[in-house]
Amino acid sequence: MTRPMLLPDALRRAFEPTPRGVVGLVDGLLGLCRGQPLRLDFRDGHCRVHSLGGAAEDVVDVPVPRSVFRAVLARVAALCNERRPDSVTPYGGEGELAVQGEPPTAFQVLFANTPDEQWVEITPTTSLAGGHAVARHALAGTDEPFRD
Amino acid sequence: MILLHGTTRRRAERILALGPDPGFREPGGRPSADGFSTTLETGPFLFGTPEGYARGKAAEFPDEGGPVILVIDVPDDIVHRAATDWFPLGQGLVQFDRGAGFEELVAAWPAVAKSAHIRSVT
Repeated sequence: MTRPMLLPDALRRAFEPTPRGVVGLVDGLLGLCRGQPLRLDFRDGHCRVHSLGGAAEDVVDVPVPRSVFRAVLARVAALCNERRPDSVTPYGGEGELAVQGEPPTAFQVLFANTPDEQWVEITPTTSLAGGHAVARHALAGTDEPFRD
Repeated sequence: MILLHGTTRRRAERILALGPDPGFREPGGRPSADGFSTTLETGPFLFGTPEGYARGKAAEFPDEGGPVILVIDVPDDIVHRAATDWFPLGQGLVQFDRGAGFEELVAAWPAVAKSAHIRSVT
C-alpha cells in the first residue's frame, strides 16, 4: 500500500519544475488547497507556505525565483478573472476561482503582487472530510488534471 | 517575435529610451530587481492580458499618462533564451530574467527599440 504524502513533502514536490511550468505549479497548489487553506509569502528568494490554522510543522520554506512566484500570483489572478471578469487586477485583490476535478472546488483568494509585496491566501469554500483529503490529493501529485 | 508589455505611458517611454531596467524603483518603493515580463502577441494569455496589466498599473499610478502596450519585435534566439521549465513558450508568458535572456535583450535593445512602438489602451 502506498503511504500518503505528507503536506510538507507534497508542497516541496509541487515546487519542482515540470514541463507544465507555472501553470502546473498553480494546479498542484490548488490541489493541495482542496483540503485546507494555505498562505504563501515570498521573501529573499524563498516561498514560505503554511497551512492557515494548521500545525506548526506544516510550514515549508522553498527556494524559488521571485519571477516564478509573481507568475503564480498572476495565474491566480487570471483564474479569478475567468470566473468573474475584472474582479481582481494583476497586482492584487480579493476574488474567487474554481477548478474542476473530483470534487469540483471553489476557492476564495486574497493576494498582493507588487514589487514590494508578494503573497496569497487560498481558502477552499467547498467543505471536505478531514485530513484524509489532503493526503489523497497530495498523493495524486502535480500532474493531476485539476481543470478540464 | 512580437512581444507585448502592458504598463503606463511614462514607463513605456522610459523603457523605449533606456531599455528594460531591473533596478527600476517604483515611487516610494525599493528596486525590484525583477526581470522583464512580456507576453506573446498571439497569446495564450494564461497569466492575464497586457491590457489588464496596463490598466492595473495606470490605476495604481494615475499620473503616468494612462495605460499603454509597448510592442517590441525581439529576435527569436533571444526569446528562446527566456523559455525555461518554469516559463515554457507555449504558456504565452516570456519572462526575461538574469541568465535567461535578459542580458541578451538589453544588448540587443538599440536595434529592438528602432522598430518598437507604443499602443494606447482604451
